[in-house]
Amino acid sequence: MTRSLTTVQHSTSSMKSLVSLASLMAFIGFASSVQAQTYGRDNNNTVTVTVATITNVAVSSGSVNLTMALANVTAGQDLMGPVTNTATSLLWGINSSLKKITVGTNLAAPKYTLKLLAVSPTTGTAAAEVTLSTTAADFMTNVGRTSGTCTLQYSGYALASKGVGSDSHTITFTIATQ
Amino acid sequence: MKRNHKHIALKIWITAAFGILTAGSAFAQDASTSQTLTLQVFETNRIDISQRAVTMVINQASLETGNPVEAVNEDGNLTWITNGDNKKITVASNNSAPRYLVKVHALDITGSTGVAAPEITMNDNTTRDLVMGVTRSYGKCKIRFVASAKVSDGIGTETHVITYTITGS
Repeated sequence: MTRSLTTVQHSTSSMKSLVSLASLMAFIGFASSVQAQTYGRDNNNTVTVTVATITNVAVSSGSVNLTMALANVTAGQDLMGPVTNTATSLLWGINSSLKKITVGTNLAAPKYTLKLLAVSPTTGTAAAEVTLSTTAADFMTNVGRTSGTCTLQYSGYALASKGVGSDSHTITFTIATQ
Repeated sequence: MKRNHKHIALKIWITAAFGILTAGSAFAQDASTSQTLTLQVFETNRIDISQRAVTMVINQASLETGNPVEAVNEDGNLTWITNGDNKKITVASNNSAPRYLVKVHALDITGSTGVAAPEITMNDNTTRDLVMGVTRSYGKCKIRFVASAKVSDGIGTETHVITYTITGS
């Protein structure tokens, strides 16, 4: 999830300068590019560190299945469900300014209702449960300069009046400026 | 040497800070990932009765005819849901030769679909229609039992296990 671009060039250096460099790398926490030059007899180094913007997001698994079962159904009411799935996680890494994560589906007219909630995020703030639509909605906010993860809790609902069938969603998570 | 190293360290920190600031603003980017989710809903039928045990007692006689007065019970509510098409609800007793007469009727149906059948006499263990025309819907009704006995039937107790089923019509 984290990209590393590290280049170190130096001709001579003392152990102290290496320790100093290592401390710097640890402080930055993300991938870095390091260049060093030596001033001949003075034995000096000039090190340039460039940290590119890293904005990564990934899911732990590319597919999720939800199946409405008898256990999720109550006699005497139209609404069936919820059937839930918490088997997958969202992972992210951001080293720039404060961001948010949005979520949306490509299915314009779903037959059934699909909701999503971020459970136990390690950083950031989980939004209220989102009913998925083609309009991207906030899923996580206040995510910045961190790597983190949360459990994806999908909940499916169906109305008896909608009959049998299946909905296939492609769900997209996007890191965007908050 | 120490002075040089301090000077170098200072340069490193300044350069790094500058690098972070410029890279962060110049190359800000969004990222995204996708997941495929399939929500499947198969045909599901569920039916439930609120009153698991019903006791009916015939202990009065008509002053005019001398015959026992029938006992009535409407305490039970039947609820159901189906997302399938063309369903009905049937009722059956396990008692193939009852001594006393028991009749059953679905009253006050609420919900989106369903029509009550006429009152059913449970004089054997045949399965009979109780509610018809149930399609992709949920519903509720009262279950009205009427028990009666003739003087010639004598005294006694008999038990029916009544089964309600939501099934294809």
